[in-house]
Amino acid sequence: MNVVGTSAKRIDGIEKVTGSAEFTTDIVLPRMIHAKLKRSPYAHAKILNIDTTKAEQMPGVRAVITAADLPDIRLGILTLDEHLLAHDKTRLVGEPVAAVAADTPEIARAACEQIEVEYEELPPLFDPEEAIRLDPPVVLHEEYEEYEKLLELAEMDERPPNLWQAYRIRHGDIDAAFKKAEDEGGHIIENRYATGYVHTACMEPHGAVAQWSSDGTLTLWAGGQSPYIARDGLAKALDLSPSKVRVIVPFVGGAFGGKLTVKEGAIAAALARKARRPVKIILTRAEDLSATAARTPFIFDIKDAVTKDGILIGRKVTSILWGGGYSGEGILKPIFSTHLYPGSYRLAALWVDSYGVYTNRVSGGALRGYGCAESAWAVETQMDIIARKCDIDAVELRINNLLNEGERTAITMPAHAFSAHECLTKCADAIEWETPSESLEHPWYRGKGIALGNKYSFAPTASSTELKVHEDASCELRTSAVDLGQGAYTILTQIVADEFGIEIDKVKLVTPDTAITPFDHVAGSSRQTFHTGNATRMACDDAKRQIRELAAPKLEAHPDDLEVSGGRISVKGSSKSIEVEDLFVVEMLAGKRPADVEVIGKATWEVSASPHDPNTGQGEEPMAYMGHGAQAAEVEVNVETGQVRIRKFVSAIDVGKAMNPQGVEMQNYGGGCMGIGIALHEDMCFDASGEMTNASLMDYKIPSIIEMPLKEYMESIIVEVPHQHGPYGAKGAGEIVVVPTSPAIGNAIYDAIGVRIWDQPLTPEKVVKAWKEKTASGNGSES
Amino acid sequence: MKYPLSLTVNDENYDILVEPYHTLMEAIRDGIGLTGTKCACEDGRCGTCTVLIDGQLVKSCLMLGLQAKGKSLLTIEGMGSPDELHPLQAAFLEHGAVQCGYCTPGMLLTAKQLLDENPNPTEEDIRSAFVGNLCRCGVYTHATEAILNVAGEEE
Repeated sequence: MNVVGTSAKRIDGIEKVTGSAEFTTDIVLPRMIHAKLKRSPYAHAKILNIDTTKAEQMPGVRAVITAADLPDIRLGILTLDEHLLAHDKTRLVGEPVAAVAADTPEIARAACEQIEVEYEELPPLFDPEEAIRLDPPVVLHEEYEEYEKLLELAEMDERPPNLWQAYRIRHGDIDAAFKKAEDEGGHIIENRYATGYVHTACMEPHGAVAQWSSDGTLTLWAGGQSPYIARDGLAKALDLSPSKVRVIVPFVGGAFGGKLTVKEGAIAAALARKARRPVKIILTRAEDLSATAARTPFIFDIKDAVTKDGILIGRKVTSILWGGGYSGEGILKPIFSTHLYPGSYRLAALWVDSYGVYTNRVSGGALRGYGCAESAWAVETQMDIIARKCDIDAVELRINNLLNEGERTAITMPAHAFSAHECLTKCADAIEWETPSESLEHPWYRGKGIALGNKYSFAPTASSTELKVHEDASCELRTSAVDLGQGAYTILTQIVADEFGIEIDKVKLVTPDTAITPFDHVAGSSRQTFHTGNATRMACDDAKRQIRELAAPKLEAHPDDLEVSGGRISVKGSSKSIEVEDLFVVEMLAGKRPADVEVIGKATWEVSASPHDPNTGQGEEPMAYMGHGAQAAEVEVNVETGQVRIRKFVSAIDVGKAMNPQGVEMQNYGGGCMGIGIALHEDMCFDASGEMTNASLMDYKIPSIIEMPLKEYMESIIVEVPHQHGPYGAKGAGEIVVVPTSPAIGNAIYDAIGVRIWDQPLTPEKVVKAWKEKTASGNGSES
Repeated sequence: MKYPLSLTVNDENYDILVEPYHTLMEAIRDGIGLTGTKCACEDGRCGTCTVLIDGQLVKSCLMLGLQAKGKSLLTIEGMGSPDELHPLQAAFLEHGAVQCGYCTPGMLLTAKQLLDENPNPTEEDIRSAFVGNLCRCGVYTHATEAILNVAGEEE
């Protein structure tokens, strides 16, 4: 039976195409009421008083809460700096200050309007470069030093008061590298890049349903990425023991990093406790886009030392992550973004200073690629510029700088299952790299671009699974891995079918429910195939070991001489065998029952890692694995309107082993689609007061079908270089597919019209402006 | 105050009560309890709440429930069943046009209406028909393949 490696149809597909898949938004409980949030209209203000009297008196209102109703506990991922409801201050437009539960969403909304909040406006701070000053005009968190923190920042003489992250890499002799480049006729190439404000914009908005039982247990249904992170977060926020919290994950309508925590779920739970009724909260699209964590911008100052032959010998980077009111889920991005500075390249000297700062904008969160997709924009545009400067082909230049298998990167990650070369060359072949784009008639120009990327998957981390074998030889996998659309449930089912040699429809999946399914860290960091996949194989092994031990006396053989496949236990090299069913059937009184057996295999797969020194970025193996991918685009640019069309798109990613080839293709195309949106037009806009001005899907433009190339010009390439620790050699695919997209497109635009746009997104306005500047100066060459 | 609304959904008659300000999407989901019709954007951009009314494509968040009085609707639940999938439902699965599945019902109804009107669409026809459907997972290419495949089979 070889189910792994086939394009098995998704096991949750029938429910999804018939409309019966139940998402959080679809859950209805008896006596359930509805919650709405009262949000701050100010980016920065002191809260002087909140009067909820009028709201509480409205017919149909069942509960109103403010910070005074909640434990005085600050929350966060690693720096605990945020209250569930604003406490004494509000630090961004849209921060929740109170919440109402009422019989209908309309009554709850009307009641929110009746809550009177007295604010004292404070000057807001929006500019990250002002924010990082030692003497900033505004300080957001005066009590920062007193906050509980679970991470260590790089040492500094004096911490800028708005700084929440500082990380350094000190590898090699950086001064010598720049001196060598200068002395020996090489190049020093220095540029500033920025990424834009991007939102996950999942089709299913954030939401939750909360219900308390009479024994004080909270059950929360929420479409999040990790039921255990959600459980622990709820317990902390509401000052409960984690064993008193049960989180059930229904179908999830997309997540992409945006559904790591369940803040609104915790508010619903607090309301439900007060109202003694189940409470549902579903954010409106405007709330979802403007007030849940976003991929906030980075600013990168990058300076490279290159020999005249195009060998990168030194790189210096200073970056600032433009954080929001709270550090949030973006807390590690200033660290993880540094993975791309060496990326797949050999780099003798690397110096990095990477920071994250508070400003009065929306808080920074995760979005597919977690910092790597952002730093790739700077690094892979630099590589294109270096290639042109040295007059070396951009693919060849990259190849000349690649590491070899077994070397370590400048951040001490071993280059294992190193497939950058294969991804790059296959991608180049598919886009016909050697053949220049055809010339079109003015004002249209065509060009090609390519970029390489990596995504590390974080460690330490762990996944546990349980595998129950039923008397009909079917298998039941209990996992807290979450299918966000990426196909995790199908891949895990394929693994079980393969390990037991049974048909895929003989495998049942018990989906995440912390009362039933064991710990799994998170559906994030492209980790589920790798980690949960390993745990699943191990649990299958454990269950099969138990079966062999139970069968041994019946078959009069040693357990080691037995094998379990296709519902039978056989003695190796003999025709003797029994059915798995035979193990279970015993007569007890008049009926049948499972014998003295209950076959449940259990396993935990764990990857440890030592944290890197925040002052040097050096240490042992820092991550679980390193993913590789390359993408190329052919674009058509209209220099009069600034329109950029993606004519052709190629995505070549290394997944170690394609567990489900169609699933990989779906990631290649889907990631490319998101990457095209991020590169060209996704842009959260804010007015002078800090309020998002395009908080609708009408105005925050995610790609539609017409932004995609025609299907004959979409190409998905699967590279399989097996990883020694991956299940069947597999690595994850979920994030690498958006990492090289933006620089591939930016480089293609340069190829077409000879202009660089340094800050994303590459909108028509910027294209036209850059073209006009170029033609006015009559200078197409770059420095 | 709620008003009575009689309508036919997937060949079944319903008599429900709806608030005058409730959208058709809310009437279908909350009044009738057919939750396959999803809400995502609330302003007609994303097509997730698409239903067919007397064969016409309607974004049910843009119409009031009471305006559907006496109409005959098709929602995703009426398109096919697990035992007897509509060819488009089967093709969406076969060709990998389903990821998170939240936009899928609206996409499928849009595809159905397209093929009902134009049994042999070109890729450009499909792109025109789908400008009003958003999918964050980015299944557009696979959905195109699925629809072309069904059209090819029915020829």
